[in-house]
Amino acid sequence: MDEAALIADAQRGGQRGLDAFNTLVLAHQSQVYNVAYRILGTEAAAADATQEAFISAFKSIDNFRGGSFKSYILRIVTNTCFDVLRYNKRRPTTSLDGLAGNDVAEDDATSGEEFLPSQDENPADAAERGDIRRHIELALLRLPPDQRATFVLSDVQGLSYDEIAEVMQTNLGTVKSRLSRARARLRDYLLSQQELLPEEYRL
Amino acid sequence: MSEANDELISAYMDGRLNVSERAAFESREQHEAGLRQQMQVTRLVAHTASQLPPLPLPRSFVLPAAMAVPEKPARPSWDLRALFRLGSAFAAALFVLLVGLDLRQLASPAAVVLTPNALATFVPNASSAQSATELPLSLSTRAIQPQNTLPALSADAFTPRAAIANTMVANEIAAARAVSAEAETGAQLLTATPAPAQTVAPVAAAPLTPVPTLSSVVTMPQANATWPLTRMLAGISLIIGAVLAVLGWRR
Repeated sequence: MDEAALIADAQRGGQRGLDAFNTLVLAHQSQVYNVAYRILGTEAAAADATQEAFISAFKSIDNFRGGSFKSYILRIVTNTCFDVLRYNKRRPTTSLDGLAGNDVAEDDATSGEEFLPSQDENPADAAERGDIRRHIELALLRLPPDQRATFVLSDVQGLSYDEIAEVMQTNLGTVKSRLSRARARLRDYLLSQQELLPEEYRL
Repeated sequence: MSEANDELISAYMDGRLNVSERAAFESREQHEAGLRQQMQVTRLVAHTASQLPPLPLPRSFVLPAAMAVPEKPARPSWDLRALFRLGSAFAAALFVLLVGLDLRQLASPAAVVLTPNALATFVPNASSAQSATELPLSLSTRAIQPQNTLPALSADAFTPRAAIANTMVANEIAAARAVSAEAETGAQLLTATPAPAQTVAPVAAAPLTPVPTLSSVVTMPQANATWPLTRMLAGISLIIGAVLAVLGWRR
């Protein structure tokens, strides 16, 4: 996929431009949706933010001045998520998604298949790993939004410090600081749940 | 645990410590059980996060065909932005050239400060009286008048700039001679021009009563007339350059 050519086509407009942009959507939608989900915590909100981000990116594609489209679309979706979080903070509501079992806190559906023990792992270890994962997902949603987004982009999505700085439009020092604080908070949360930790992690 | 230790652990995990910092941290980790535990649990956190499975998409986020915008006309093969920038650079160069020309014109007449004696030493084959009478009055009314009371300059005292100006003066004298020759054959220009004797006081060594030559009547107004033109052109080039720069930047 020649990303630059697709972007040039998308900037030209018309049906061909839309097709070119949709090729980019198909290539990045999974990552964009997952980032939105990890920041917002619900599938419905993440889907809305993802759709809004792609529409916004398409409308402003003329302003794209080169560089990585991944960073461009991740920046838009991160900002969209921050807007949603700010809006929810001003007007707190009770999500019905939680009642349907879609919230991370209530949702065990995604921890089923993926956490079936592998052949060289005993069921107890697998269950322990699943518990840790769920608690980290829960603790993640309690982080301040900027630390949460930095942790998601770094440790979940595997972006480099430079890429995160570009996505979040900040400097490397801020990225390092936010990341270390996020990791420390999650670590302290796990340490407060000693029964979750395997033997070798306890003092 | 302090924030500094948190940053140290994070930097260690990401391989962002130098050799000495890394060795110091590992040494501390071996001796401090608390630090070791925090390091291990932080690693567990990062590892678990990296293993989180990607969620399946609830739907496709492909944009519908209704969102297609009208196709824009194809851009010309030449880059308009580059053209604007080139034009802007050319206008800037023109502006600098015109300003330089204007400054040179301003500086040249003012630099000429001559006395008849100096002129006599500078123009060979001309007597002092001849020099005095044919003194280029384009200089005499402005340059000599304030210098009347000053001692005459010798040729040695000329600065290079004055020397250049004197070359121009010599050329003017030659032109004046030609005109004088014409005047002798019947032209009435010289006789018609009044002698501004009251403006030029006699110099001690050689009393002067300079008579304006034709060159003084003709050349100076021409020189003055070119200044507004160059300034106007410089201003126009500056405006054009600025407009082109803005156009090039906005595209």
